[in-house]
Amino acid sequence: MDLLERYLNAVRRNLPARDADDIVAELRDVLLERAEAQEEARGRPLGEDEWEKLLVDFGHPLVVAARYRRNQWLIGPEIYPFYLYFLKLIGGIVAFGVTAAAVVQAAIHEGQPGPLIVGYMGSLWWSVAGTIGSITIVFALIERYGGVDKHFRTWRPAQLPEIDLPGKEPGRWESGIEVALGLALLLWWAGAVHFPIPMQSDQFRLEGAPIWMALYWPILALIAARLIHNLIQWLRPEWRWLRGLLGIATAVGGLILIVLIYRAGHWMTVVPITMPADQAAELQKSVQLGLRIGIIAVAAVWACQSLAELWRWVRAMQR
Amino acid sequence: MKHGMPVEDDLFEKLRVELRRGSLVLAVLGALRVERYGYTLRTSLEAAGLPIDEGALYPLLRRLEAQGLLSSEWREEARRNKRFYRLTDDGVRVLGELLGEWNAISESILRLTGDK
Repeated sequence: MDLLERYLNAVRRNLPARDADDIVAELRDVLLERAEAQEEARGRPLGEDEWEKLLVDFGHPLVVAARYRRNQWLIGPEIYPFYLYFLKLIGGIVAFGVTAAAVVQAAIHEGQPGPLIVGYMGSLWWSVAGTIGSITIVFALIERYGGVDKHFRTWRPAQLPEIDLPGKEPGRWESGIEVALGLALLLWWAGAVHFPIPMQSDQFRLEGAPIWMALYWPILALIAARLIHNLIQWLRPEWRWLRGLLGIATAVGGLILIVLIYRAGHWMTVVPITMPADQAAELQKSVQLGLRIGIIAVAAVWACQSLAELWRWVRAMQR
Repeated sequence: MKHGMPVEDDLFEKLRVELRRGSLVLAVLGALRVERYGYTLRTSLEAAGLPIDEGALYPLLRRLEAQGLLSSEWREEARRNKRFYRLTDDGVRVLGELLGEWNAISESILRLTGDK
C-alpha cells in the first residue's frame, strides 16, 4: 500500500492543481480494483513485487499525469510544417552569418588558427542552439495561445515563389557571355592580349606587388578551370556531376586565393615620377585601402555565389 | 517506401491504433447510455471487442465530461467510493450525430472497397 501511495503522490505532483484530488481519488479506486481482481484470481493478498508490477503496467507517473493535461504537445501537427520551415530558414541565415563573419576574421587574423576555429565552433553552436530555442518558444506560445496561427492559414497561391527559383539553370545567353568573358580574362592574364588599363600618368605609375607573381600559376589555373566549367554549362549542361565538381572546386580554390591575396597585405605600389614623396605616400595609402575594401567585397560576393552554386548542384543531384 | 514492399507489422499496428482512436470516443459514448463506473465501462468495452488502455480511458472520460457530453457523480458501491459516468442530453444528441457519420463513413468505405 505504501507503494500505491507513493505512486499516487508522484502522479499528483504533475497534475493540474485544480483537479488533482479528484483524479487521484479515481486512480486510487482504479488501481485498488485492479489489485482486488488479481488477489481474487490468486486467492491471497498481493506481495510487494506484484504491486510493483501492477504499477509499472499502469504506466510511469509522468506519462499517466501527462494524459490529463489539456496540451498534449508542444507544437501540434497544424503548425509544425511552419515551425520546421522557419527553423530551416532562420537557422540557415544565422549559420551563414556566423560562418561569413568567421571567414572574414580568418582572412585578417594573424597567428595560430586553433583559437579561431574553436571560437567559430562555439559561436556556431550557441547561435544555432539559441535560434532553435527561440523559434521553438515562439511556436510553442502560438500553439498554446493561438492568435497568430490564422495568418498561416490565410494565404494566396499568387504569393508563392516562382517555380524552382533556387535551382534555376543559367540561360544559354548567360552561359555564352560567361565563356566569352572568361576567355578574355584568361588571354589577358596570360599576356596574349593587352587592354588599355591606365597604370601610369605623368606624375606616377602603379606596379603590382610580388603576391601577383607568386600566385600567377594558381590564378591562371583557376581562370582556366572556371572557363571549362562555363563551357560545360553552355554546351553540355547535362554533365551535372562534372559541372558541379568543377564549380565547387573553383569556388573553394577561389576563396583560398582571395584569402592568400588578402593576407599578403600589399597589392599595389605607387612609384612617383614627378609626384612629391609625401603625396605619393598618401596616394599609396588610398590605393591600398581601396583594394582592401575591393578584395573583401569580392570575397563576400564569391562566397555567396559559391553557396548558391552548391545549393543548385545539390538540388540538381536530388532530381 | 518502394512499391510492392511487404507492410511491416509495426506499421500495421500504428495504422490500426490510428483507426481505432477516433472510434473509441464513439464506443465510450455508446456504452455510457447506461450509467457505469470506470471498471465496468472498461470490461463492457472489452467484452464488445474494443479493449482500451486504462491510461487512455480515464483522461478521455474527463475530457468528454469537460466538453459537456458526460456527467459524473461519486457514489459508494462495494464498500468504496466510485465515480459513475453517464451521457448528458447533449451527449445523447452528439452520439446520434456521430453514429450517423459513422454509418455514412462505413457505407462509403464499403462502396470504395467493393464489398457492397
